[in-house]
Amino acid sequence: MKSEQMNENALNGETKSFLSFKLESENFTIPVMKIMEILEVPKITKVPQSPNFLVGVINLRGAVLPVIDTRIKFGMTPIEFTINTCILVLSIEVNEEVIEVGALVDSVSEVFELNTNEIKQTPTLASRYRADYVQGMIQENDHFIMVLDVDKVFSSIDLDSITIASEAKVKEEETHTNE
Amino acid sequence: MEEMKATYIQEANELLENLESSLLSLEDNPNDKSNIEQVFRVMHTLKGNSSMFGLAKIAEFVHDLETIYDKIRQGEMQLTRDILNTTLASFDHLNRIIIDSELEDQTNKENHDQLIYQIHQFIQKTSVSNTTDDTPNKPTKSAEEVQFEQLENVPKTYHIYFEPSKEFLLDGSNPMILLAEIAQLGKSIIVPHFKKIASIDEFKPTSCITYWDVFLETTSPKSALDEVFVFAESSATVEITTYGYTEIISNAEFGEFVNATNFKDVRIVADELEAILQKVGKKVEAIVQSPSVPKSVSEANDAIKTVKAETKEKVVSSIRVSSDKLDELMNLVSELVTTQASLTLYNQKNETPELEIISENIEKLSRRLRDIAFGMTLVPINNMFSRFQRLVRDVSMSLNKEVQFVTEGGETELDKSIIETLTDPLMHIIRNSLDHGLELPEKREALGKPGKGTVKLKAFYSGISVYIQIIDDGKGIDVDVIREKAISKGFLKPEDVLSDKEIFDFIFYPGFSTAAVVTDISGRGVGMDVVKRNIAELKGSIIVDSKVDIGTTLTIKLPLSLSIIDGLLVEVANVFYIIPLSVVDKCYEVENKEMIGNFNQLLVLDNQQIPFINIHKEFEYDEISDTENSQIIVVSDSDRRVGISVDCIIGEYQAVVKPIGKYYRNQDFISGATILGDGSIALVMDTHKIIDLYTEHAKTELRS
Repeated sequence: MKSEQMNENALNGETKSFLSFKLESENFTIPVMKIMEILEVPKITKVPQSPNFLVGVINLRGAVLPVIDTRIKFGMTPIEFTINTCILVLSIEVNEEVIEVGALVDSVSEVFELNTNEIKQTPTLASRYRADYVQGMIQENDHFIMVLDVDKVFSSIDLDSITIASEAKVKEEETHTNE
Repeated sequence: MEEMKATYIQEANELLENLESSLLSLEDNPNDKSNIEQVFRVMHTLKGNSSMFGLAKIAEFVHDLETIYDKIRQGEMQLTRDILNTTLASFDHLNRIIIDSELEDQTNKENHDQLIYQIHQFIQKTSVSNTTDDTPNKPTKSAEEVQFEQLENVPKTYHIYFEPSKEFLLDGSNPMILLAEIAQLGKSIIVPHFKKIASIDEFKPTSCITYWDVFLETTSPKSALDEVFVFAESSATVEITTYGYTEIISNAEFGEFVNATNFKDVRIVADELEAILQKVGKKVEAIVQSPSVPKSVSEANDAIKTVKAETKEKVVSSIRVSSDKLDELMNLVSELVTTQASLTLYNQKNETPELEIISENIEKLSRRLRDIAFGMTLVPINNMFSRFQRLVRDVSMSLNKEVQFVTEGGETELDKSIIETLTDPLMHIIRNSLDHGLELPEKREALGKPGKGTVKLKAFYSGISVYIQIIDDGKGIDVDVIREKAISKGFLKPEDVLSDKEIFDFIFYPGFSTAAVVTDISGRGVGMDVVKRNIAELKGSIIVDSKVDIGTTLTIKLPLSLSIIDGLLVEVANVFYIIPLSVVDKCYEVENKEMIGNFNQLLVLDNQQIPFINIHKEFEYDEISDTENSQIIVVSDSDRRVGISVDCIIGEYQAVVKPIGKYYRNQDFISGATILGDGSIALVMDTHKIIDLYTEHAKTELRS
């Protein structure tokens, strides 16, 4: 209790709600403010000749919503659809323009409150992921949760991927599709 | 208040636009009376609006400007090129000071004073040369009479016949205010007539059925009277006759005459009036040198100004609606169309006869509603064309070139948002035509062409597209020069064989300019790539065609609207696609084995060889599914016909096209997506892009 108060009084500290979700076995979190809603997976229409991470488009109450396979975006294997798979409808800002996009995730875990001061800088060397996509990490019990900069992760419309390692592979793919 | 001001600015902008087009047509035809009237009226409205908002500086400025046109209108002054130039300059100035009404900007202030000085010069010049100036463009009145009418400080009598139309009261006009204004000008007798009042059963309190005869003795010029009626002219009959007599109003005999006519069921006849005036009135010895005042009866009759006939404009009644509301309406209509599709689908599954009738009716209604709602967002392209008139005038003057600017098809309608985005690219193209396209007059004459160059702007419909062409008869573009340049810039290998059309396409490459001299106006090689990009954003395309010494034609093709299209719903590998019905030519059924292993990608259909695109292959789906037959949809794309293979055709479909978002910007052969009745998504094909893509594939395959 006491420590919480101290945190609130700390410089620039701000309490926000976060939603955590899983990709494979890893935990990620994003601010709840960015999430419009969470959907079950409906029928997805794939757009021909589009990059792998773009799963397709869905009908969101009359609007057309592009859906991204977040796992591919993070250099993992393509998502396997289970009963827990769901789509986070995110509102992100690209070039001062707000757009909506769906992100496929393996499962959502919980919503929790967090003071932004508790977000720790990630040691760049230790990170698997591109530093500018990750805001930082938080420690919960014995594991870490990555805090993502949603605007940056999902606004990268180009075919770049989040992990540094898979970039070359994606480049290869890009040249392939352009042929 | 801010909101009101926004409305004021919007309205002022529209008025100014209106003004500009009138001024430019005046330039070609300085004696066009209706245009002068138009200019005057627009200025008058602008003045009124400005003073209503307390923008005194603008109001004063416009007032001075208006004075000139009032004089021209009255025939006291001749419209000269100098006046027009000043007016156009003033027009530009007004455009700027609409948002800087207090002249806080120093340059605005300087301009303002400068222009006011010029305007006053014009006004003073005429008042000096007033009596000697003979007006060449005479109205029905003789010059002396006009002068007499306009003389200030000379007493005279007006007879005003004022008959408002029945609808006069509906827009909030009040005849009593007008009459009160007249009464203030001098001594008057106002005689109301009630003969049109119907029986109590037919009586409608909202219709104006009273009319008036007014006799006014005043020293004010006739323009003062015109000003009172300036807004009433369109909805009332106003006839004003001037007589050179005074001391009539208080005369008893005249009073009797008026009373007598009031009870007779006739209008006051001009010659009777003339007679009684002659009898009782005191003739005004006007300063006008002419002895012919007063005039004979017949001339006086001629003089009756039939304001009604002259100034009643073709009234297309319209209302102002904010574009937000229109967008909202379009959205709702889109949703209705989608919902109606679900209804049709439900009906197909359940086959209830009663429901079928209802569903079909709703389909018809929604289709009509769609067309109307859609039509409302369209505006004639003319609005944009008239803006270019000015551009051409100014640019050609600065280049010392003589240019005839012709527009055709200005009534062609396009979505407002498309027109807005199109203005800049078109402006750029026209500048290019003027600067690089057209030669100087001497050179043109040496080539046997008329010294005056022509730039033509032409718009027309074709199917679901609108074409806009910019045609000049200048020196044209030399294919070889472009080719050389493309090779030197490394865009092209010397051994490549390209069609002229493809070579012309290089002018849209960034940094590609063939102009030897860079001028203020164009030639820096920035621009044409932007032009192409802007047009591509509108889902349009641009093609260049040119012959040396004959001229250049740029053709821009644009979709009529971006939102709702009639399409053909088809299925490929369990994915739904929409092909715009406007490009569909004919559908054929072929056996799959005809397509597989077809080396030259040609099918013979109706004895014609038609190249086809195997969508299964191009879209990287599994090889053609187990069905035996495929459907070939032959689509036309400018001058070619190409077949597109699909698994099955489902039927006609009204597609509300929604963007699929920026993530798919590299998949531009899909122009959008639409929601089907069952909630699933169909992708809308852009056949033009698909065909281009396919031909490029074929080319790379050949090369490799």
